[in-house]
Amino acid sequence: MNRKEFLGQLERLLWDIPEQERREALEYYSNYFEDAGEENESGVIQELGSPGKVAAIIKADLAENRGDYGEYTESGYTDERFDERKMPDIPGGHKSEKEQKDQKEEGNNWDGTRYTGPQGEKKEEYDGPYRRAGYGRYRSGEQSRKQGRSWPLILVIIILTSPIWGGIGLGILGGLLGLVLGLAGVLIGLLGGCIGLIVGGAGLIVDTLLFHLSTPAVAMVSFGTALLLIAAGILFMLGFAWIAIKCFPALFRWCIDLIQRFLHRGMQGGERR
Amino acid sequence: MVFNTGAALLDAIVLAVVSKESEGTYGYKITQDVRQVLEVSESTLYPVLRRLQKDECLETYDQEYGGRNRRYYKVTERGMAQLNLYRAEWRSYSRKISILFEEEGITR
Repeated sequence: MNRKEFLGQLERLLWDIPEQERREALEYYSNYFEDAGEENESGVIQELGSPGKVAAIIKADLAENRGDYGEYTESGYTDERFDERKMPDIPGGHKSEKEQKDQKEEGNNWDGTRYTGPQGEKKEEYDGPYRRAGYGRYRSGEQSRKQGRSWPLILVIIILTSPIWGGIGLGILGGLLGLVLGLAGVLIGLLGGCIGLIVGGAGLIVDTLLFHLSTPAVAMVSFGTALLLIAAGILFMLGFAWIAIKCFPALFRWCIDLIQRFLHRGMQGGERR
Repeated sequence: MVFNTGAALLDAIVLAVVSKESEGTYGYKITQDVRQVLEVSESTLYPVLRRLQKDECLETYDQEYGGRNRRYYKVTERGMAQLNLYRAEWRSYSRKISILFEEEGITR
C-alpha cells in the first residue's frame, strides 16, 4: 500500500464523520506523510497501522469513547473501581448506603481536593484539571461503568444472547422503516391534499365568476369557500414543506445514526486487542 | 514501557513538547519528539492534538513550507496554564511514588 491508497482508504472509512473532521484528519495525515518524506513512506504506513485502525481511533475519539485507548486517567481508574464495587453492594442491604457514601467521599477526596485544588464544588466533575471538554459530562454513570467491565465477557454475553438481539434489532429496524414510510405517506397525503384543495379552490373561483355573478349572495358564499379552500391548501403545503425539509432529514439522520452506533460498537469490540 | 500512559499524561507530554517551540511545531515533529520519551503509536497523537485544540489548549496556523501548507501547533495561554497544572501534579505524584518505592527498599 502506498500513501495515496492509505489516504484514500482512510477517507472512505471516515465517510460517516462530519465533513470538517474528515477533512482535518486527512489533512493531518497527508501533512504527516509529506513531513516524513517519501523515503519513510512505507515505514510510516507500517507504524500507523491499517487505515481501519487509524479511522477507528479517530472515530472512537469523536465519540468521546476513552475506553479505546485502553488507558485511563488515574481518576478514571478509581471511579471505575468504586462503581464496580458499588454495584454488588446495592442489593446487599443496610450497610451499603453508608459505605457508598464513604467511597464517594474517598473518591472525591482523591479526585477533588487533590486534583482540583481551590475550585470548590466539583462533585460531578471527576477529572479536575484533567478535564477535557466533554469527558466529565459523558462519563457519568452508565458509560464509565460499561467500560469498566471486561470486554471478552461482554462479547460472550452478546454472542450468547444474539438471537434475542437479532430479534430486537430487526424489530427496531422494522419500526424505524415503518416510521419513515408512514411519514412518507403523510407527506404524499399532504401534497395530494394541498394540490386538490388549491385546484378545487381555483375551480370554484372560476365557477363563481362564470355562473354565479348574477346572484351576489351565492357568489359571495362560493367565493368565500374558494378562498378558504385555497388557504387550507396553502396550509397543507406549508405542512408538507416543513416535514419534507425539517422532519424527514432529521429522522433519516437519526435512524442512520442509530444503526451506525450499533454497527460501530460492534466494530470497536472486534478491534480491541 | 510497563506502565500505562493515561490520557492526561499524554496530554501533558504533548503540551510540553509543543511548548518547547515558541514558534509552534507540526504534527510529524510532535510525534517524533513524543516518541523520544514514550512508546506511543503514531496514530494515537492525532486525536490528542485535536482534542487539545478543541479545548483551546493548542492553536493552529498554516504556513507555507516547501511549496505546500503545513499546519503548526502552538500552546495557548490556557494550554500553558494547563501544562503548569500538569507539571505541579506530576511533581507531587512522582515524588510520592518515588518516596514509597525507596522506603520499601530500606525497610526490607
